[in-house]
Amino acid sequence: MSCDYYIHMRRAIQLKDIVPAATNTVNTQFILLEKGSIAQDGKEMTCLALVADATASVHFQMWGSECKTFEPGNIIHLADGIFSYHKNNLVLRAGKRGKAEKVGEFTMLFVETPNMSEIRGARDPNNPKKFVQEATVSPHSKIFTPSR
Amino acid sequence: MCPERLLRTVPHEAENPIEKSLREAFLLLQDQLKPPFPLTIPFPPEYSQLNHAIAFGILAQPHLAKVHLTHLHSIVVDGYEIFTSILLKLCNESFSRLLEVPKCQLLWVCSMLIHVSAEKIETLFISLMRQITGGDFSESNLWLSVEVLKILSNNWDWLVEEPIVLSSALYVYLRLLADHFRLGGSFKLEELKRMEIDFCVKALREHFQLSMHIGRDLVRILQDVTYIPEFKDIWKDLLFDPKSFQVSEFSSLSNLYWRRTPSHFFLLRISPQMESQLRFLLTFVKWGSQKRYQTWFVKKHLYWPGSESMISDIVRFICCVHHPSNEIIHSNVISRWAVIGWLLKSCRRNYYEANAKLALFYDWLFFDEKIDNIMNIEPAMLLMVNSVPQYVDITHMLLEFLFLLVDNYDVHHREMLAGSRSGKGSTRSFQHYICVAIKRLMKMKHLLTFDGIYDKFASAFAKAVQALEVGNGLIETTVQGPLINEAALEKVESLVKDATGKGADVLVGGRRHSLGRTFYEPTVLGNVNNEMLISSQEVFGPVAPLLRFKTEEEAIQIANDTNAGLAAYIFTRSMPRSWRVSEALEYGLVGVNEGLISTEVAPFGGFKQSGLGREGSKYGIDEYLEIKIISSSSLNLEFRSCKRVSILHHGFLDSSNAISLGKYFRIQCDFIPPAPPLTDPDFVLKEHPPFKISKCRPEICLIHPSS
Repeated sequence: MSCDYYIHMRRAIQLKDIVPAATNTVNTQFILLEKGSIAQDGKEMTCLALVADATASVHFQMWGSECKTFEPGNIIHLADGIFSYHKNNLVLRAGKRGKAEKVGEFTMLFVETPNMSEIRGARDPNNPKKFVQEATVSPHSKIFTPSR
Repeated sequence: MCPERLLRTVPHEAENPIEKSLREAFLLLQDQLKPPFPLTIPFPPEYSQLNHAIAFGILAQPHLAKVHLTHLHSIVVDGYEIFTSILLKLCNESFSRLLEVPKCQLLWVCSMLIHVSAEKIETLFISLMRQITGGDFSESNLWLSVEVLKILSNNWDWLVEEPIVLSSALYVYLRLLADHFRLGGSFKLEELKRMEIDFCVKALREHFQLSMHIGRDLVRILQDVTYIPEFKDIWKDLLFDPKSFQVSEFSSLSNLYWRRTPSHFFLLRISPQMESQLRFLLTFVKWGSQKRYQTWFVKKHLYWPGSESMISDIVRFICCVHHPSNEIIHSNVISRWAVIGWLLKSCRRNYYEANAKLALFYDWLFFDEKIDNIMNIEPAMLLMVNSVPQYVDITHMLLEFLFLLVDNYDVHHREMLAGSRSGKGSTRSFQHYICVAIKRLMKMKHLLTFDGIYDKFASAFAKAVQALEVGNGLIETTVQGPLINEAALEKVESLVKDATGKGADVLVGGRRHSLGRTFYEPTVLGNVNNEMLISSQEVFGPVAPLLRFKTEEEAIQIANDTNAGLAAYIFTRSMPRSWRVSEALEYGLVGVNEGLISTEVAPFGGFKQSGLGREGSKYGIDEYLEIKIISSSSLNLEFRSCKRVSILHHGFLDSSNAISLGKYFRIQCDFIPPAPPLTDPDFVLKEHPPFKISKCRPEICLIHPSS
């Protein structure tokens, strides 16, 4: 059981394969494209960012000290992250148990479409733990519109 | 005892692998680092670990540094190669993040390694020099500049034995002087400038043979400092008293011009991080995706005032060092010329822009096919050619600069430069590559030029046309061949005479070519107006008339004032204008910012006397079809008595239409499929417009009652 967990934890996935889930098992690497404005959520700072890898993009919710540290162009490795609804937005974040770390900058290819945060899904009726993609709300992020 | 850190820590940043390996080795072997040192030579894996541990100790513990160094001296078996490799890696990848103490220690140990002639110490110094950022006047950067120079100045004996380090240091400090000298102020900076001047002058006066290794770029960077008195004298001697440098191979400045600068010099003013980012951009990033990378690059490297000084170095790097493979050139990775175009546009100040353009064209001036690489001049050529439809002003700007450069660069040695037909060097290649760009412009028969830019355009265009080579079409470099016969020649001559008689100026050419027979010089006529025959008749010769206009309406009126109407071209940046004008033009083909507009899948044909009908595409087939009408009457009654009707397929009827027909007549209709065509079995009419019964062409040939 624990070794299954270990293997599950270690496996890195591409952004196109992330599905919304309540578990913090997302291990992935991406490059930060754009930062939104920094806001206050109670005591903590929050900041939404557009991140992407070679397969897809997604909205990444930064928390606390992450907001000031990560800059566009940074390549970030996320361990034990969580991809779920947070205040009506589908976002990827480190969460309480996860960790996001900068591992480099610039030298990573990315695509901005599809945007995983703009895809609405529903629970698979046969398997409540599984999420099925239903419809694409938008091919690109509606918050960070593609630069012309 | 918790050891010190080497690199600045930033929250949310993974630990640097180099620092990690150094610290781990140190912690592991801490006890072995105190004297007395064991006399046994360790085995290779332990030897490497020990090197790592000592390196960490030297960098993190200044008070024990000498002890660690002595230890290193006592165990070394590889000429310090592993040790310098560790420092080299640290320097290349993380120098800017080093804390103050480790940075000082690094420089100290490098100077110590000179005395023992450590392996690869010269590479380490080159790497240190690359960390001195151009155009950066911050404390830390100036400090590095001073410290490295101090070490070099104290070790001339070693320098003389290392020509690459000496020539590289000369290149670096001449470039830095060009930035530093313009800044007045602090005492420290004055001291640095003085040191730099003394160093460079010594290298040039006393070791000119080694300095010459730089090649022709030495002239380029020297010219940026000729306002400094010491270098003014050096420049004078280079021009008028070359013997004073006491080098037998150097008898004239031309000896320097004919030496291509080895590409490793162009890496000196680019930091390793900048290099890897530029190489990534030019190797992997696809056309259209470059915008974000460019923003990040500027934010990281080109954001402070003075950073523009590096743009000319980056341009030189892209042209002369980074040569993409054929595979990459033919893929849709962004091209070098586009990145250079972006860099040129990023220059805010004229001085830096001029330097960047000089860096772009420098290899054009003395191009020798035997020693120079075409990949060095390709970006400039492509930038000019590819800017022609949409960004004509860039091409003009570059052409203007190039002509200016050729005329004014080193008047004393003018005969060597391109442009002059008798000169050696890039004359042929230069002209050939310009011609590719001009060819596109010359496709336009009439060049209507907006009044505001008329003069600028006319002079640039005239200059470009002058460079066109006329001759035998079978020779590779020929751009223009002869006219078809004497009659054509006479027609051209009469049109030109008529134009000049009515007030046009001849800007270029205007007469038969010296080659004789039916050759005519490429001609540009200025100030042409609609009175002249040339503006309404087809020339069929190498004559480009330029007509002025002040408003869009005027331009359209001039263009339409002819009884021909085949093809027209407009160049504009305004989308609404492109629509208005292309719709108003009475021409069958209109090119907007594009010179190549015919293709067999689009209908080709003209207005007015240019002909009737169209060739090509589905519209072209119309000429081969016949339309037939069949009027019928008094059939309705009979139809109502019919129970079934067979409809033979003809023309544009198909089965669905047949069913509609049947519904109309309220009888069952059978659809008889078409017989195979009798003439060309491969011909298939792919398109037939769906039509409703109300619009049907009465091509029903057979409607008969069935039993």
